[in-house]
Amino acid sequence: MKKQQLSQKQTASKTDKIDLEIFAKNNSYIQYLLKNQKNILLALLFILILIPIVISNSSGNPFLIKSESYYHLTNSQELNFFNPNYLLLNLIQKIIPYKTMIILPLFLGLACFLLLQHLLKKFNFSEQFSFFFTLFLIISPIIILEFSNITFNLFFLFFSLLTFYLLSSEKKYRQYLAIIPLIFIPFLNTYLSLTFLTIILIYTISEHQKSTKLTSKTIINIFFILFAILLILINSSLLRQPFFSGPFYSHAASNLISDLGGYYGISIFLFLLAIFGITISWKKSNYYLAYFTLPLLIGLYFGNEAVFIVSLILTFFATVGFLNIFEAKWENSTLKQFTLLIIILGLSFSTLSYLNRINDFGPTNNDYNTLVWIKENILSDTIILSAPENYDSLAYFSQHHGYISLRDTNSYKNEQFAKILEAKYTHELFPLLEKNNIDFIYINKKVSLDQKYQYLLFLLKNERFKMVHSSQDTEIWVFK
Amino acid sequence: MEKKELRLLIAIFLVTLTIRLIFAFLIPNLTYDSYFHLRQVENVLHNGIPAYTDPYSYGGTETRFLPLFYYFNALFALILPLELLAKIIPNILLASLTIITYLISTKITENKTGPFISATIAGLLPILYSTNSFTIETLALPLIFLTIYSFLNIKNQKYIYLYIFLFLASCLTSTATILIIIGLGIYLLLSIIEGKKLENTEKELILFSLFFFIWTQFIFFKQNFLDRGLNFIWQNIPSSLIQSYFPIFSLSQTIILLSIIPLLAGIYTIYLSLFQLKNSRSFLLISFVISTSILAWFNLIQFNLALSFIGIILAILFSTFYEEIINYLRKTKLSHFENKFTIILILLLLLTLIYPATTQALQQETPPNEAIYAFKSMTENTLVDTIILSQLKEGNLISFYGQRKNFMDDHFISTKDAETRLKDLKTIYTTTFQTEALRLFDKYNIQYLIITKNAKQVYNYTNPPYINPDCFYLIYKYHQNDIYKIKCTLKNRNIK
Repeated sequence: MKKQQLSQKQTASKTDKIDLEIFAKNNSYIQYLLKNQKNILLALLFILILIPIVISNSSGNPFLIKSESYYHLTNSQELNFFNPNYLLLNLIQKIIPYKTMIILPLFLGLACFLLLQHLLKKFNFSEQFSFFFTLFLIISPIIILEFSNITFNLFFLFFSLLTFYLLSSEKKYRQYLAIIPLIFIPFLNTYLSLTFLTIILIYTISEHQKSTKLTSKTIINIFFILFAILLILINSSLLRQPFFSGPFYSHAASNLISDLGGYYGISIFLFLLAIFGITISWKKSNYYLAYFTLPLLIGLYFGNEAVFIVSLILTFFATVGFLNIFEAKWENSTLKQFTLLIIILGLSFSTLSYLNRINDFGPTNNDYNTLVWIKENILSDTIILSAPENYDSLAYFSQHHGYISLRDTNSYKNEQFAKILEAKYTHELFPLLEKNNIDFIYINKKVSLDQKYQYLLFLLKNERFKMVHSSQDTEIWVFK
Repeated sequence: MEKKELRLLIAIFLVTLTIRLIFAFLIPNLTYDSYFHLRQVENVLHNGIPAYTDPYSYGGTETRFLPLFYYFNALFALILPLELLAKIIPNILLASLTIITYLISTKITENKTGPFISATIAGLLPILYSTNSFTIETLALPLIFLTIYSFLNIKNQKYIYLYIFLFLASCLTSTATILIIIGLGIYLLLSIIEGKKLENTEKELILFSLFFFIWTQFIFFKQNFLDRGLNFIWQNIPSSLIQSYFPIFSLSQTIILLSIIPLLAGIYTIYLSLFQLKNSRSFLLISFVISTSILAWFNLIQFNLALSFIGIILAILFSTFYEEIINYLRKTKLSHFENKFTIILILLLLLTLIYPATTQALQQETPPNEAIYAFKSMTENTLVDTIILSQLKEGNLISFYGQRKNFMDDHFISTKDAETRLKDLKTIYTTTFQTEALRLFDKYNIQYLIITKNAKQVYNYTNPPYINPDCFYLIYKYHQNDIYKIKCTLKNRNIK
């Protein structure tokens, strides 16, 4: 009987030992990761951001993949005193030539990482939370895409983190300096401004809860909130700032989850962990303030551009969910380890799968050469018909205007474009092209593979169309 | 289990199996959709893997599906001829549902007779009487219910490992495993609402199951998800056919396929369990009914699969219903009628089950032998590496018997232009203009056309009007099944 009890105790202690292995202090692997998280995560970030750049470079494709990069670069080519972000970008374009422009998102991405690490430590998040939150962010497709392109989301992240870094400093002068990065944020777009407002409100409430009196820090925060509100109001009412900058890709719910064919988003495993995290966070007293960010998820209904903020919020909750699952004691430790392995494999799978196809999103080498040919051979005021997704790269590389972009709200133009694509006969198509002064048609691989353009491509065989340039899978046709 | 009970259970299994095999061999051949799966088993036998690079379907395509069903049957195919195996193994698997139903019923009721009645119902459920169907569901359903049985027994350590093993097997057999995931999710929700505390082991297994299922499905269907997103659920079924896979709910059809007594008894039991007795033993099964109903309502799973699943659960829940009735009878003055009541109930059940099950079995659509000969003749009468056009449902026969490329079959996920192809297929069979037909033959490089007796009945003609000896050379004719070689092209109507 005693022997039986002894062996049961031994089995129990062995099970306990195994069960606590994952986050226990005697788990040397996890402890090493947590202690050196900054260096490890920095190296991982560097590798993940560089992979799409290296792949682009080896194929001869332009470095910047996202259309939004070209949109901002085009808009900042002329001085815009009403938007300090474009002023800044204009200055950068004068210093850094296009071919090395990739340095900008790389620099901003690395800066964001360092600022985030500092802030997580400053706000007393546990080592485990900091590590996994940063890890999940880094491996998210949305971050890989944003950190390798020039986007307002990246600017927002950088300026917001810098603002909080300065605001959270103990030195008064740094707190006052926070107004500098803060000025840039309301000029991005209204949605990002509202996001910043929400976060700074949460921060202010959280700081105020620490003491009963109104501290100078709280007063500064309130001042900044009011100042930000003023700038947002000026931007949206006087300067007619859009709610979202884009869209730069066709609107689709699948853009939130990269595994479902989205252009960006997060892994489906992270999404599931986030759902779990949202349901259990209300029990934890520290995290209830995070629920104030949940209304921002509504932005997803209105546009893809909300995916970035939604991804950040979901990653936060996913980290809460993940830690809750794996810090708890399981009845079956083997099952726990197996589940952890599946989640790690699933997340890695999502990231690798995304890296495998990210290069297909942007303009190719052939696109670039053809657009340069357009710049050199076609008059600048000519309208070129192409897919709306090509509008921004067309504008930047060829300095020409496409007929329509994804951001066009002109219902007449959208209607005309739909009619052009639906035209099955030349007597339907030709009057439309003439009425809209379209002289050239730019076809690239994306257009030729898209079923929407099948009738147009078929009608190009007519004698009134003549191919004036081709480069493998890109073509330029003139309409006479 | 006593010997007497074991003998009774085996008897129910054997009777069910016998009935099923009688129908299976009475009706010639297999259902049209079975031949795709049969070809995959054949491929596993010859090449070790299923035909993921399918040389025949849609003229040659890359396709993805879960492989365990084919490997499982390939093992038996080492000793049995393929077409014999296709009739025996699925019927054994579906007959085994009687045993599984019995086992699960014993977990939710203390009555000794109820589980046997449940087993009988499961053995005679009309919806399961596709005796000539060699499809994934024949393995998936027994696996899923065995998994559920293991979950009900997880207090015993060895059942945890059995659950994991069976769940893994289910994930590798069919995407219908999602029924387990959603069911467990509803179970979790119901438990929270009812204030029932779940065992830690249950919570851990639910978490593990969720992530494992998602992971396995993404491993196999990564490209499908990337190409189609959530539309993958609808398998790229053309819009004109979607009604046949996801029909509008019909109460009368449901009553016939599930039988009225188990259906009413199941609804009553669910009501009792949720609102009055709060029978937690039935919670899990009721959760599965709710989850399947929700998925079927929103057209997220095929109607037949949903009905099959719900039917088996209602059969299991019948034992609880029976127990309630018997307990009630024992409290009343009618307690001495217990045995007579049981006999009357069984007779009523048999009456309401046997006829619909027989009708369901006899209504199965299988190709006649004469058509099979026509497809078999393709190996000799047609050139290798050519595309042959047939009706949609006959596409798999071209691939399996003819060993030739088909224009189209019911594996719509394999192609991007299923909608266009189906429209063109209908045009070829219905157009009166030879130019239109030839244009489509040229578009897809179709070199042969088969018009079976069945096609002639469907389109109500002896042959399409545009068929003439100048352009269509008859290479095979047997009992109104004709195969033509297409000699002309549209451009110059020259002989090829």
